[in-house]
Amino acid sequence: MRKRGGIGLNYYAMLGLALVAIFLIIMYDISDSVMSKEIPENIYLARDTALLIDTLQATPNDVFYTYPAHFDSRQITINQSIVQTTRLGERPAANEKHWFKPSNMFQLIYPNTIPAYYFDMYKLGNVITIGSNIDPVDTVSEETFLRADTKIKVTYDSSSLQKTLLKSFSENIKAAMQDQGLETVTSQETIELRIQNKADKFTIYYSQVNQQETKTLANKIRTFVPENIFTRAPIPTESTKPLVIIDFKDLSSLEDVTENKRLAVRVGAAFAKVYI
Amino acid sequence: MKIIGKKGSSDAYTQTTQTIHLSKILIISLVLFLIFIIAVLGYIDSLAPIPVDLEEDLVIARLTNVCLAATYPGTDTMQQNIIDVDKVTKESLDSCFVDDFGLTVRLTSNDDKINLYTSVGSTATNQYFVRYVLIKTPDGIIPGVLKVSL
Repeated sequence: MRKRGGIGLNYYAMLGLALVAIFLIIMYDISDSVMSKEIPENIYLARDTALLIDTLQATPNDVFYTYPAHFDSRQITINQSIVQTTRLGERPAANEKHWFKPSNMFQLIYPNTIPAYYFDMYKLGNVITIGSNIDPVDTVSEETFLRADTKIKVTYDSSSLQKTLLKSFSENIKAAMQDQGLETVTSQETIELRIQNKADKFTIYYSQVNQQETKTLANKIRTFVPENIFTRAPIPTESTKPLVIIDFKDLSSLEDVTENKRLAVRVGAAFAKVYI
Repeated sequence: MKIIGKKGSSDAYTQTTQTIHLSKILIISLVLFLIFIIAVLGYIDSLAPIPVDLEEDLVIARLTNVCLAATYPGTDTMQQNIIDVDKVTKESLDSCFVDDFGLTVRLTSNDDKINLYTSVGSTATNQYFVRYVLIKTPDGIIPGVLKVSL
């Protein structure tokens, strides 16, 4: 009878110890994942992506955004209103996700999985595209304005993410030139507005024949661009203060400049800087 | 029989005691495990915190910047933070969010001449988020208040 009692005690003790051991192993595994920051990073990435989608849907203008970080061997999965992140090839985990609020106004385009490596997010009109290495179709629109005899032509990329901005900016140029006149400009001039390097910088390409005329026109543009941008083409940025900042620069020293004078306007700094 | 009865009672007592002890161990382990899980989830959540009211701010920004925003005359460019009174409708809210999103909007001008209310779905709370906006009316642009409940 004592032997039977001994066996019973060992059996229960071993069962209890086994259960405790299982709990400890699970807790260790969870702790290991947390301490390796894999799970927190997945959750962070899911939340950040979901909030970015909500931000794009709250933005009135076109947006081009490249996610400024990469997470090795991770992927993003979007399913209707849920963003989930996992290791490449793995199925999404239950807790590594976050919700965004889809809209009937916007069409959301995304692949089945998105590698979390500097992926792109576009908002063009009512279409939001998320993925890697997306390029908008390059279509240039032209408009000619000012007096016919001066033949100023402004072109802008009508399919770019900042189409609205560029068109508005070209209208600013038009209005300001009309206000100020361009008596010194007699030859045909072309001003081309174009996004550079998928960044928040766009470049004015200014074709010219006469160096002095170029400088005169550049100086005129320099004088009216900041005010007009502020009042006529507000650009949304992360700050709540009035925002547009313009770095107006002579780009003739840049490597990609092979001809003509080029002027760059950089948007996004904290205050306007003017160079020339 | 008497002796056997005593031994049987002793064995049953021992087994019952062991079962109780095992149950205690299991319950305590389970409670500790749950506490551990809750602590870990709280810790993870604290590593990627979302600022207070950020998600609500984004919802309201969608309203004031896109869905209810007025446009510049002759263009489709939105006038941020300027609410078009004609857009404060259930249809606008329906198109702004998917069907299961609850939202209540109240738009009031400072002179009380405009007092609009519209709602879709059911809101989770009665808390209103207040934004000071401009209201575009046929007579011009006037200041007002937009209250949103989510």
